[in-house]
Amino acid sequence: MRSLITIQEGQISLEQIKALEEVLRKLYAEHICDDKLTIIWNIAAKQHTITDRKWSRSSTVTMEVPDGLETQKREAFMLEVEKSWRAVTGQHPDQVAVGAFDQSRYTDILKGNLTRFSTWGRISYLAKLFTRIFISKARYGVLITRFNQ
Amino acid sequence: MPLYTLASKKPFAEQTRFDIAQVITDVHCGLTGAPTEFVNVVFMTGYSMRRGTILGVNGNVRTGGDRTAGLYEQLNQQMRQRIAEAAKLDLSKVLVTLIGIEPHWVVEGGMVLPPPGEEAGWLERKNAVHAAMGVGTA
Repeated sequence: MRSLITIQEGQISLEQIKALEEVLRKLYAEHICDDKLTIIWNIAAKQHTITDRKWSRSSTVTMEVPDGLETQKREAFMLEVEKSWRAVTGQHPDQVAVGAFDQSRYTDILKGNLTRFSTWGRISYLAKLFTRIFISKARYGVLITRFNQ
Repeated sequence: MPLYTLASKKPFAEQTRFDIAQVITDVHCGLTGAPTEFVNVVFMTGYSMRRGTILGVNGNVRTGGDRTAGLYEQLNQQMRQRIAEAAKLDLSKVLVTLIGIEPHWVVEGGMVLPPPGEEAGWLERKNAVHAAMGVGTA
């Protein structure tokens, strides 16, 4: 299973990222399933994200869950993630979005992100993504990349 | 939610990015009635786009409630038109793709998002919950 997380440059420290990752893995195992969860952190450069018409200070956590996961389970999971996230980062509730998407839709979204690129664009995107996350994993123990190549 | 991600090879100037985000907010909220605080826009640069496209816009938007297929069609067309104007690009160079997301798959402001059309009551409840938590506006 996959999780893509968007955070703003300079907003969340490496220590906080590691703490958040630990919490997310624990909650995922408790609420959803024991499948391996790959978490990729995507850092947005300053002044490249806008929320509510203003330069953003928001974080967006998206996670893939099994298709047809029951509503009560899904909502309890997302609310717990949101609360735990804010406990670590101290962000305002309006600055945190958590999504738990059916696996099939999540795949559609990820595919949709790639279809706007040329063939070379896709190869280059995936090559840079994997290079960055492997370097990040070796250096910091977590998978971090950036939106802007 | 909605979350609009915009990908291009070359970066747009800061003011242009800001202007495009305002246009996206105007179109999305104007057509759907969603509150502006729901609208997120992310710019990604350095990506080689498919042939004929300079700016690729993907929008993850809520489905259900009072939204119809016609509304999504309108949203796509107006979004493309207004973004092209704000980015000073030919209409044919802008690609807009919308993907629907069930509202109850997302939590924002500490609460599960409402179905489209039920935002007013949701905002009232959210403000009351935040007041009870002792938090003001972000």
